[in-house]
Amino acid sequence: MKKRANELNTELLILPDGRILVQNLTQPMAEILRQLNPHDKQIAPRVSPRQASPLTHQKS
Amino acid sequence: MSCVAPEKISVRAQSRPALARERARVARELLADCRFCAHDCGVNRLAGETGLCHATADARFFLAQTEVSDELELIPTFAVALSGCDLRCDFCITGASSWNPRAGLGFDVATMAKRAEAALNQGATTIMLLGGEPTIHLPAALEFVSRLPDSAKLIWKTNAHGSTQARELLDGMFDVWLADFKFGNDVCAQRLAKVSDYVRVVQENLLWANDHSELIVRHLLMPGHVECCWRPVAEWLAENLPEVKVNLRSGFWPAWKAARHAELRQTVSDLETRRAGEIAGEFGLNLIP
Repeated sequence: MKKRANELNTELLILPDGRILVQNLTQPMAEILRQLNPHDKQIAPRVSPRQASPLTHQKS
Repeated sequence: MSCVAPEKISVRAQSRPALARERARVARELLADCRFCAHDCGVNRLAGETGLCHATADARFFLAQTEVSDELELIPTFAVALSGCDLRCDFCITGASSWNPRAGLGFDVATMAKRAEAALNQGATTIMLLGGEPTIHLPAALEFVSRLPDSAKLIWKTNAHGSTQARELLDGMFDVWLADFKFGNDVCAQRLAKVSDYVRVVQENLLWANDHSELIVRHLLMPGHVECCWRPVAEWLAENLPEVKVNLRSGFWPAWKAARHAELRQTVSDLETRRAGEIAGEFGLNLIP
């Protein structure tokens, strides 16, 4: 699917072991990911920044 | 009586937007003999010539949005990704846009500055300019800065492959340099990104950035490159920039043309991630999330 530069874009890569890698994480997608796994300590500070730990992700 | 040279007083007295406007004008003229990155092509981009990055004089962007995936101290950030890059990393996660400076939409600095300011009003704490590689679009980048509030916290996300000329133009323009140190040796740099003399150039840029702004160094762990790339990067940082903030990223994503290299057809293993963390600890690095 062709991306449009003016639209919000987040890309997810779901690995066979269940891990999810995220690229260009937006706040709405961070909130969705937290709802999927409320206990994930890596996503929480992305939903409410400046609280705690990292998320595995890659950017250019 | 002050001994400060008048020209230095003049520079300090100028606001960042005003200074950026002047620098942008100079940078645009320099496109006639482009030497913004360490490839030092010397092509006349104003006349339509292109160098290794293939960029013309016109900047384009492929993404502009508020994101929360960067360093915690920088988010939420309004990230603007300019199309095109001077490196050719086969594993580039935005390869289609980073290798193609004609990707995306035309970069209208006035419109983008309004979007950035709106993002700040809606909760973004920083504005980040990235790519691709923004250095190859220095005139547009500086024009963008000239339209932003003097008080905005600006992040320059770079591959640290810029030239002395680029650094001089960027001096004082961005609050934070968020710089990649991707490869720990020139063999891997040449094989995976088709760039020579990589390590020397990046180290020169990092030392300069640390002296002229706040610096955060990023290293993306790559499968099979913990010892050959991460270890020498960690060792150099410990010796030369011992206090610098380092973000060690383990989310390697086998994208773009990564499959050209057998070891890059997978993600980083848990064992490699643990080993990389041990190396960081061994060198006492200042890791940040």
